[in-house]
Amino acid sequence: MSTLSRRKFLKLGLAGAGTLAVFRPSSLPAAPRINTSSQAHFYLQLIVQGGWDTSYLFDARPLAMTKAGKIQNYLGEEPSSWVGTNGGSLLTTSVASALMPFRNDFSVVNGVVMTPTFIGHDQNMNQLFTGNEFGGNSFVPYLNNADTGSTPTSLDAITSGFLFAHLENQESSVPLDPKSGSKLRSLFSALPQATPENELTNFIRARYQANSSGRGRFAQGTTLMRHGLEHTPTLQKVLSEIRPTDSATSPDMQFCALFSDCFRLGIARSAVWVLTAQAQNIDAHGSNQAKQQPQVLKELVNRIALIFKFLRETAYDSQRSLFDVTTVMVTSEFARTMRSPGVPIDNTGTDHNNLNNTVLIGGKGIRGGQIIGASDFQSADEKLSPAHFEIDQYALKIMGRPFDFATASPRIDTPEKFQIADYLTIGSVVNTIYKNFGCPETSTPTRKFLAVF
Amino acid sequence: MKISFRLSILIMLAALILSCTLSTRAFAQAAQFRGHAEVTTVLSQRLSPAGTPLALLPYVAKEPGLLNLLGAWTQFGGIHVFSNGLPNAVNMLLWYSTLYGVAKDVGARCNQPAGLALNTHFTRVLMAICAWPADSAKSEETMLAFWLGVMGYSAPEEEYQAWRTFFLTSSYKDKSGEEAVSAMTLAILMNPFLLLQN
Repeated sequence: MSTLSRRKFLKLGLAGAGTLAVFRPSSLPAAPRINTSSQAHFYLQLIVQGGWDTSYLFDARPLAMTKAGKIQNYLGEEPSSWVGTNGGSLLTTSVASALMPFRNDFSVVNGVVMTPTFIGHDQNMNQLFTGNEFGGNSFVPYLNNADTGSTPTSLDAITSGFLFAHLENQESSVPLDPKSGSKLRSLFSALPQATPENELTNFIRARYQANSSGRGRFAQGTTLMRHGLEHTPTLQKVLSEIRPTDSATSPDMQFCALFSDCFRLGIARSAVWVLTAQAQNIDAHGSNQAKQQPQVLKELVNRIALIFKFLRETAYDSQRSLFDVTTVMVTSEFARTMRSPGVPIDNTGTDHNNLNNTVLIGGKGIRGGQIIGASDFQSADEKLSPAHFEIDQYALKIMGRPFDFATASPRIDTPEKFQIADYLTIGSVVNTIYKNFGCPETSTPTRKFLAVF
Repeated sequence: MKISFRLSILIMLAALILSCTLSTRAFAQAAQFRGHAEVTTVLSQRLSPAGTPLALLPYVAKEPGLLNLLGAWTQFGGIHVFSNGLPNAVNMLLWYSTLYGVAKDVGARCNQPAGLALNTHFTRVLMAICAWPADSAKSEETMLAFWLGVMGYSAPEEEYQAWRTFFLTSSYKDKSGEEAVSAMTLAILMNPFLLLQN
């Protein structure tokens, strides 16, 4: 099996820019700015960590495939068809029904290949965020470039929940849970500001300056301390404006209140919320876990729907909702295999499927209601491509269909050899986000995303 | 297998390039904060009486989530990672807020014996400098003892000299013992040689 070289990935990433054609830039008039020096645009990443079973969501399969022993189905209902505004189609189930009222707010991207080589949670999560199975620079901080609307004091992101990924460029991404965030107000209200007028602050800053020269680790760390200290007065002021958490609401809603305050106050450009199922793990290797998935995923979908509702119903300013100024992506690190080998279809678990995933993408700059891409194995007797068997020899996985980037539609051919450039990948989705934020497509010392994607 | 001279040169060259690449990568990694646990340990050893370690939690509104933003080890499955160690505006503000509280409590001990629990040695050192702005508090012996009492031998002498010069020449030279000691403590606590992994 061939591995994906950096050069290949870059090529693919550029090819992935073809998917941009299906997303229209926002045609809304320029809006008044709130606490930022540029047009408001934020990013919300919802991660359903553990590897979700997309066959209960927006990539379902007919019950005939279960009867044929191909795919487990503990819901036991025939899925229904949804045709997108662009003519793309999919099958969905009642598990995803809570999101249907928002169907025109987001588009579904199906058949997304994660890493074709590795099946681990961390490797695929790394691929999602960094374009490299082993981790590196996350794409999220690059959305906060100065020329795409960042203010100097704006954090790249606030994150909540443990993200199982190795991300390096996190110096301006801050884990902040709602409970902690709401306590910042009282903590900083009585604290003297570390302003340049403060004689002691100036002395401390001078020591940082004196120890910042050179490229050693200590000098670099001191440089970061100096930059951090310079921004503390402004940050202190805005952090103290974060509203107290309403403990009566759910953790999701508390995080929504936190990130909306952070967006509104210019504290952070992005927010990453790791959604974990409360009742049961979605990483359903065992049959007992797999049997719980319809209920577990329904609970997660309901929570995602409430977040969409929050975005829709929360005003950012007098003219726009939070949804109007926020691009949203919802996904998991990968989907699930159709079944485990060697066990009855009605008593099987599922394993990691890195060859297929579903991404929901909506909000600012994204035309909702579309269904982009598709996966194979739509019927029990579908003739799979030799390329499929090349990387899934026992045909346990649903795999993304080859994708025509020129027309932004799935191809019907069955390639002889697996070549990653034939498929819609998570890199293509991330490039879409980049384009959506106006990130330059050329690499500069401060914008290294092309080196990753 | 016999390796030709040209091949051996190529291998050496490749090894050299690889080592340079690796060292450049390591060089590019900024030092992280030592984290709240290590700083607590260090300060407790220097300031606190045995059995009564200095607790930073009360200085972050008793919120463990905020304490973790100062740098902390976290665990996911069998993997341990050090989180929030890279300095940024938020954790700098939190360190500033936390250490401001600690420094204020140290300074308050000049006038309130019942305040922050301190060990006998550090109390003696503190009381000597609490005589500020008296000349005795400004002596080399008293100031060095206080510096070493908080900083230990973590920083080079230049840091001590800069600190001493600042407090002998700035507006703090005439301020009260409590106010000056609080500021002197904060200046040491915020020093990168105390806060960063080195």
